[in-house]
Amino acid sequence: MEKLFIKETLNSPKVIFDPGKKRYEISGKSFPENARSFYQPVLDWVGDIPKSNPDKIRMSFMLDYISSSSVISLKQLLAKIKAMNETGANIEVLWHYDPTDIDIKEIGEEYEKVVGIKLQFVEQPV
Amino acid sequence: MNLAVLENRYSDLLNRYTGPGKRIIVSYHGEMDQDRVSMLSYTAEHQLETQGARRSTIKKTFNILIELLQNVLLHSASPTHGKPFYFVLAENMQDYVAICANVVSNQAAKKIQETLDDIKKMNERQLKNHYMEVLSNDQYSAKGGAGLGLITVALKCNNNFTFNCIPLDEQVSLFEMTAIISDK
Repeated sequence: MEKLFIKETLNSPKVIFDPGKKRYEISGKSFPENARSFYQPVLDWVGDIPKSNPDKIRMSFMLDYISSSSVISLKQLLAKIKAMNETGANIEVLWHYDPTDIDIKEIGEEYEKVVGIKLQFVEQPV
Repeated sequence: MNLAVLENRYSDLLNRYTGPGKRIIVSYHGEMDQDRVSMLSYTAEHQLETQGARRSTIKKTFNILIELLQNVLLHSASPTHGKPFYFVLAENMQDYVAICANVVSNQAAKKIQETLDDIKKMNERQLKNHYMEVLSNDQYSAKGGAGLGLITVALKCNNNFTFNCIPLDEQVSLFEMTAIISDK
């Protein structure tokens, strides 16, 4: 698969999906003006993940702020990951959170309920 | 459309939050764009850190500001005048007060008022349930929102908000929302 790299800005996160290095990360603050168009290439990339004899992908979400419009787009991304896993892909989602900030962990827990996806919660060192 | 109303209300706010126990932290009056959303919210965050506000208060405030400011960006209706707005973050005794106003269509103003009237009647549990219902729903507006922004503001300020819609002419109104964030 091709690499996907999106540079971090003041209002949008960095995206690094690098199959060669087995590195799959979304990190930073997420409040782009148009969350739907920002996350579209990420959704497309996930949709192209091979479903037969797939390598295990460990995808890390390391976000320290998520606006309400990004909450919706990330929900769609997680729903896509869930659907891909149900049809043969092998993607594990690591949901990183700062233990002093309950918001990010709570959003992850909400996704588990709403999307029905299992997240691996990872407490970041303070 | 009479934009003098915006200017007058902005000036009134600057006066209202100046005096003993009160202080303007960040204020702005002009045209909205995405850079302005980032600039105002990061400036506010930095100012609150500098004056030693609690970390949880800073997070809540940042959250509220982004939602208020992005609402201006997404839902302004003033084709001939860009996206005029004003924004004030002030300290008022033990609280922080975030005020944001912009021009919306009268039709949008009616819808926002109905939404906020409904939200205002909810307790914390109902508000959280409502948030989960909206998040579960896959119906998004053409502008990408699903109504989560206003619910997020209400949750972050413990439903301690007020709002005003002032008709400017037959087409548009000034929508002003005030959220009060306690630092206790």
